[in-house]
Amino acid sequence: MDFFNKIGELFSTKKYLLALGEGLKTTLIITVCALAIGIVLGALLAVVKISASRSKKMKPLAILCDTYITIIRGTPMALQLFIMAFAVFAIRGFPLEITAIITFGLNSGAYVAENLRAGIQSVDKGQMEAGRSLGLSYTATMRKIVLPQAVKNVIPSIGNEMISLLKETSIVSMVGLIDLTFSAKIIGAGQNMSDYLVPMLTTAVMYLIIVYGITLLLKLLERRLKSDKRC
Amino acid sequence: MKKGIITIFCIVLILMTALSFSGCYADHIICYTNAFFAPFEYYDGIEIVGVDIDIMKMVAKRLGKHITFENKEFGTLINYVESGKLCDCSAAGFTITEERLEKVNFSIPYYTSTQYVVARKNKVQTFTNLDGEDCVLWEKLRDMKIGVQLDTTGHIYVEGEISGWDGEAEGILQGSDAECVEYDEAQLAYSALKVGQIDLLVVDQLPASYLTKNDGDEYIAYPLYYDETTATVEEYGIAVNKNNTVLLETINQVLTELMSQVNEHGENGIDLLVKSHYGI
Repeated sequence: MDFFNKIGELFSTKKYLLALGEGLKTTLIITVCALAIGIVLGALLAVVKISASRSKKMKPLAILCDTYITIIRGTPMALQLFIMAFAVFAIRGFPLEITAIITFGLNSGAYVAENLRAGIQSVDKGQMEAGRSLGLSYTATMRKIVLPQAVKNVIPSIGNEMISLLKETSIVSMVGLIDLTFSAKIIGAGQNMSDYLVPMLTTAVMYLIIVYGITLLLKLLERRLKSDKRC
Repeated sequence: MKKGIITIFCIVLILMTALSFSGCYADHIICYTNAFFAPFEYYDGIEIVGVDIDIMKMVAKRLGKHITFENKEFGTLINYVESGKLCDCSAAGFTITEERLEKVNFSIPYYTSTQYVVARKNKVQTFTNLDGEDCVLWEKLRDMKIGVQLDTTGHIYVEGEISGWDGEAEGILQGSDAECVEYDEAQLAYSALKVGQIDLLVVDQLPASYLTKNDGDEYIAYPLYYDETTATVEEYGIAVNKNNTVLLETINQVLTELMSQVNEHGENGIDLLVKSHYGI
């Protein structure tokens, strides 16, 4: 019964709700902004990597991109955040939110790049050949024929990236930001509720609801793109 | 395409430089802390409050500067203060130790604390000290699973007693099956104690009584003694960067004044602050 009392206490106390709201805000802002950076950066990286197979001029740039992706994917997110916060952006009073957004954006860029590249390469070679033989330039074929199909293919994996990004943002508390997980910790700490279980469970449910919402949106998007194909 | 990329890059660069300059924080004191050490610093809602915070606010007021508090992991605090790049000082209930003094300056000691053991009733053997309190001896902790908060003095002491003091002295728990389990926060260790993952918890006096406050007789905090008369005592100080003498002097001034204001009950300003935060 104590458990239910605690739940009641959590939802009837203003400062706890404020803490949860603050945490939710940080988590969502970081996720959305980082994903935006990630998609733009990922697209650039993917384009460079794809075009390197065609032109020799892009080769050095592609090697650079490869190195970047290897480094980002090969080191833990927590360490990247730590290095960014305490070495790269070690400027007095620099807003930590910006640091977190840039770090997560750079990180997700590497993953999105690989997803996009796989998506573009999964489009049948014949599509490109057909476009070229109809007299379209390489860029036009890419933009008008290959990319639209590729985007449809990568939507599930981009959604995947978004979901894992959302949950991964819980490490920002390490550098002193209050995200959703950390707000549970604050509420559970001695001076407030002195019980971790209830706030932790509450935030778990909140994460679940957000992720479920994202899943539904993606499903809707996929269905719409599918119906496009038929007509 | 290429021009677009370059433009975006430039905009980002300009934004970043602008941000870094606008956030110069010249008239700001930045104080790092670890807000899981009630009543010295803890979260009330999303605001960091506590005894140390009150003291630092008085210091800031005297210097005519703004002060910001940021929550960081306890173990990293001393290093930040040592580098002085991101913060000026750290008020986190630090025990003044030789190792820490090599890296930072400490204010005058403002609070004397004893290490406490928190355990389920009748779990450890106790004795009664001269003041009639129930206490626990270090040697009674043999073969126990001991929970501590990472990098606190409790952690340093327990580790030292289990594995010896760098060959200088034999640890009391050396050779026994005692085990040290580290947790990020005392509260977390207490939760672990409640579900039986550890046998007892070694933590500072005030947090100890804080943790057990709501649990009646089931869990009890006992002072930790080396022998029948020697308690495990330590003194708290505020860590300040070695180059920042103005701040250190102001902190010392404020602390001296607080400690010299003794009321009729023999309580000084610090005790009153502790009381005001303990009461909530």
